[in-house]
Amino acid sequence: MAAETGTPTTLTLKSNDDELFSVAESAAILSVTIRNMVEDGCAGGVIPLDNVDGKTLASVITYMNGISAIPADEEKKKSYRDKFLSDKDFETLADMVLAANYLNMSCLMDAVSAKIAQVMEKKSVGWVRRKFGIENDYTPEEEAAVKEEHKWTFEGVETDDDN
Amino acid sequence: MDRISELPKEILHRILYFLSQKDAVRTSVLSKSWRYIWCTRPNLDFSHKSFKGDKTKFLSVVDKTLQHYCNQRLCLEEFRLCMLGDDSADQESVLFFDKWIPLLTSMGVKDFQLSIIAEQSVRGIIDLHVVLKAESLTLLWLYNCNLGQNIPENIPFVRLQELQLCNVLIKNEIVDKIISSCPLLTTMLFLDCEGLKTIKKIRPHWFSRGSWNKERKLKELGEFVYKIEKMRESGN
Repeated sequence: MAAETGTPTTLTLKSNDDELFSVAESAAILSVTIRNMVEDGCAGGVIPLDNVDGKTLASVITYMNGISAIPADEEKKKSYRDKFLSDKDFETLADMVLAANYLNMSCLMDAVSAKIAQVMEKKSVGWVRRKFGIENDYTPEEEAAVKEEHKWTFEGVETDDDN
Repeated sequence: MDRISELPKEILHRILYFLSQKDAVRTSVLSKSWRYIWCTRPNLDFSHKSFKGDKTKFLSVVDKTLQHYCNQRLCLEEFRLCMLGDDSADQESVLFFDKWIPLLTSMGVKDFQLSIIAEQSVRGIIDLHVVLKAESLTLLWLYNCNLGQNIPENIPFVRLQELQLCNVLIKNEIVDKIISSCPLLTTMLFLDCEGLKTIKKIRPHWFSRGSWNKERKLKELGEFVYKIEKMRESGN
């Protein structure tokens, strides 16, 4: 490992569409999945990441490099995360949350999950359905019954009209 | 199926984790696949303020949900409860606290945050000493409450990080006990707590743990003691 040899170690990660990426070990081990491989000595050659495509992996590596360059300062890390995610659309966020889950990167997983949650916050059911393209497969009677069961959750919710 | 509904359940739980109970429960209406996602997420976050219904209904929703988690042996890591209003510390809610607090302990909840913000008019009427048995408390805010006259043998708040007591009737000995048994306390605020004259047990080791800034905190405590003494002198 890098700490033992004194020279920075670089890892090679391979996406599921066969793109290769070089990344500093110190940044890559933000992923517990990768860290475990490094600790088990299985990170010598190319590390295949079967659940992540090249586009997403490139983005995750940008995040790894960016966040690991920030010294232990939670506020600065948070503002980096906010900025990093600010221009991502939902498709990208969904890819990232899946990658973060697979790579076991809790800080990225939480940041993306919170960002998706923020979109749903205080919004009506109809609005959330449209935003995410969720198909309503309830019959009107079923839907009315579920609504009735949780009536208290429908007060003070933003109306559909503004969207 | 659409992209979000296709996400694995553990990711959907993580997304719902960041929503209030109200927003999380409402997702059950989105579609059939969302029907029960909310009721297995590992955290519950109830606020009487956002509930908007009457208190009896609120208590019953909290109770039903908690009971569901318990009966189904679901994992519950965090439980947040915020009660406020003129009747938030009445006998009815205390009966529920009597039931919930041991339940949360037995369910292994790691993070219990409790805020009881009562109207000043009810202060002192209801004895909330059951709160002193809540093992997993990490945050405790009490406004206008009465923590009772009995000094418990042990205060089990080993995880308590934040304590705010405003206009709370509390025995000085209880505060001393809380302070000496909460190694993780980082934030503490006492305001207008009748019965609280001084903080005696400032243990040096207590400041070296966690993120305490020893000098600053000692100064704050000093000022706090000073204020209390001042109040007594002026006959308040």
